[in-house]
Amino acid sequence: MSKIKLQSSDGETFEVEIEIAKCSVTIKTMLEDLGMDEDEEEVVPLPNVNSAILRKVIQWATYHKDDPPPPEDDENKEKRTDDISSWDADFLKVDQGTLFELILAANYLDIKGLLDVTCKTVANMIKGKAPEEIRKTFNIKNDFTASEEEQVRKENEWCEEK
Amino acid sequence: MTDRVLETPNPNPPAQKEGTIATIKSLSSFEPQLNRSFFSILTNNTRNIPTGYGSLPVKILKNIFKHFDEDELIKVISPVCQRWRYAALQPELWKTLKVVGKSIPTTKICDRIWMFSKLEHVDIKNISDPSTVLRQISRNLRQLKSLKLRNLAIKEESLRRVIISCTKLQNLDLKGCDFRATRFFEELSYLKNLKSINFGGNSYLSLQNLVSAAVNCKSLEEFHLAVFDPLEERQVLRDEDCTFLLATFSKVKRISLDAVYLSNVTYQLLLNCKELEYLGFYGAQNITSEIFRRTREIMPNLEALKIRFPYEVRTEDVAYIFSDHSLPKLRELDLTGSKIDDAGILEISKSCPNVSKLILRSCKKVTDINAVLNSCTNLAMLNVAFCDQLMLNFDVPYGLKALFLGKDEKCLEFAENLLEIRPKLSTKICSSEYNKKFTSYKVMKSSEADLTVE
Repeated sequence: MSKIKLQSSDGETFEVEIEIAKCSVTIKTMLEDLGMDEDEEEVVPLPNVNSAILRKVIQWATYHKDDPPPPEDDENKEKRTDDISSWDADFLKVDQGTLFELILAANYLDIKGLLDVTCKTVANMIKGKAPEEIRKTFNIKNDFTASEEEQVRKENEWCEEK
Repeated sequence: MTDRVLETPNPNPPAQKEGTIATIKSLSSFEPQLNRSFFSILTNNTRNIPTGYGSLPVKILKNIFKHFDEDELIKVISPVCQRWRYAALQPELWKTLKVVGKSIPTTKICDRIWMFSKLEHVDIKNISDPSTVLRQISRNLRQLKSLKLRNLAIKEESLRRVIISCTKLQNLDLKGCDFRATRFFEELSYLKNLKSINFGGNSYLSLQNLVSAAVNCKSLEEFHLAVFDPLEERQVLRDEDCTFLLATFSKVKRISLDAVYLSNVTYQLLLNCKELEYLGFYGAQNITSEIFRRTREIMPNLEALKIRFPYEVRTEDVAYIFSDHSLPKLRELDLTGSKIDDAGILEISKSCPNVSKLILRSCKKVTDINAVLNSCTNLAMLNVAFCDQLMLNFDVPYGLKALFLGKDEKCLEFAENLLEIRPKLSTKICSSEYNKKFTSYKVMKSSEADLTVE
C-alpha cells in the first residue's frame, strides 16, 4: 500500500496510506488534479491543522476507511441526532476546544463524514438549552443591540396567535 | 439564492481576526519548501480562521443547524448572536412554514415566503388575506410539496395560480376552505406528483367537481372528504358515486368519506382496497353489523380507523374486530358514537399498543378506560367527551398532551383538578354533542372570571 506524508502546522510529519488520506476530498482532489506520482516522496503541508488534531483526524479516517461513501443528505433523516455510532461518540469525548478544531479541520480537509458527526455532536450540545445557556456553553458574546434584541424577541412570537 | 434574505442583520458579520497572525507565521515557515501554485488549493483558506463557535463559517453553522426544526431555529438559535441568526435564517434550513392567526400582518407572512424560497411545506390557518398570501406563494415557492390551507375563504383564481406555478405539489389539503371552482379541478392534472387531496367541508363543492378531480388525478393515494354538504340541494355522495371514485382512485391508501348516505356497498369496496392504511367513515349509520365485522380482515394494515356513529353495530362487534389481534401499526382510533363497552376497551388495550390518538366521544357504554391508559403508553390525545357513564377518576398518563371532556359538572370538576396536578396538559371542553366546537378549559375559566368581575 503506497503512502503519503502529511505535515501539520507545527511541522510534524505523519505517514499515511494514500487511501486513508483520500478520505479528505481536499487531498484527493489535489492528488488527482496534480497527477502526483505515488512513488514520489512528496510532503503535503496542512498549514491549518496542528499535530494533535491531525493525529485525531487520521485516527478517525483509519477507523472509517472502509465505510461506504456517505449518502447524499436525506431531508427526512436530517433532524436525527441520536444515531452517532458508539465508536464515534467515544472518539468525540473531547473538550470543546478540540471539538471545535476538529470541525474546522474536517471542513478544511473536506471530510464529510467527520464534519457531519462533529456538527451533530455540537447540535446535541445545543439541544434543550435556552439561548443564554448556549452562549455560556460555547462562550459566545451576545452582540445584539437592544433594539435588535427586541426585534428577535418579536419574531419569536409572530407565528403563534394565542 | 442566499441573497434573497430580507431583514437579516448585517449580512456579512465580521469574522474575528485573532488567530490569523499565528497562522500566517506558521504558513511562512513552510514557504521555502512548497511550491505556492502547487499547494494553493490547501493554503488559500488560511485567513479569517474562526476563533470560537460564535464565528464559525455559515456553511458549518448550517450543517449544525440542519438538526433543528424551524421553531427551534427561531426561538433557540437565532437569539444567540448575529452570525448564528444569519445562518439560522438561510433558506436551505427552512422547509416548513406554519402560520396561524388573523393578527399576523399579511406583509410579514409574505416577507417570510419571499425569504424562504425553498419552503416545501406551508401550513396556513385563519389568516386575514389569503389571496395575497397565495399569490406570494405562487410567485416564490417552486419547491412546494405540500400546501395546507384551513378554514379560509379563497378564490379559484388564487388556487389556479398556485397549481400552475408550484408543480411539485404532492399534498393539497383545503379542508374547511370555501371556494367555488370548475377549471381548478380540471387543472389538477398539471400536478403530476399529486398524491393527496382533502376537499372536506367546502360547501360549494359539487359532485361534478369530484368527478372532475377523480378523472384528473388518477394516481392519488390519499383522498379526504370528511364533510360533503353542498349548497345545491339534492347533491349527496351516494354508493354509485363512490363506486366510480374508488374505481378511479385504484391506488388509494388513505381515505375518509362523509358516509351519511353510503351503505354496505361502499364499505365493502373500501374493505377490498388491499393497501388501505387509513379508513375514515363518518356517519356510518347505514352499515350493518355483519359487514362491520369484516373490518377485522384489514385491521393489521391500518394505521387509522375512524368510524363514527355506527348505529347498527353491536357492542360485541366492536370488540370482535380487535380481539386476538396484534395491531402494532394502529395509531389513530376514532369510535365516536359506537356501542363499545369496557370489554372492547380491554381488547384495544391488548391489541393496539401504539395508539396515540383515541376518540371515544359519545360512547355511552364505557365506564372504565384504565386498561387503555395503562398499556397504550404512546397515548397523546384522548377524547372522552359525552361518555356519560365514564368514571372520571382515572390517572391521566404523563405522555398525554390533550384531553377532551364534556361540559357537565363532573367534567368541569375533573378539569379543575387536572389544572392543579397536570398544569401542562391541555384540557378541552366540548360544548355540545351535536357539533365539534370546544374551548380550552383555561381560556374558558379566565373568560368566566372576566364576566364575574364585570
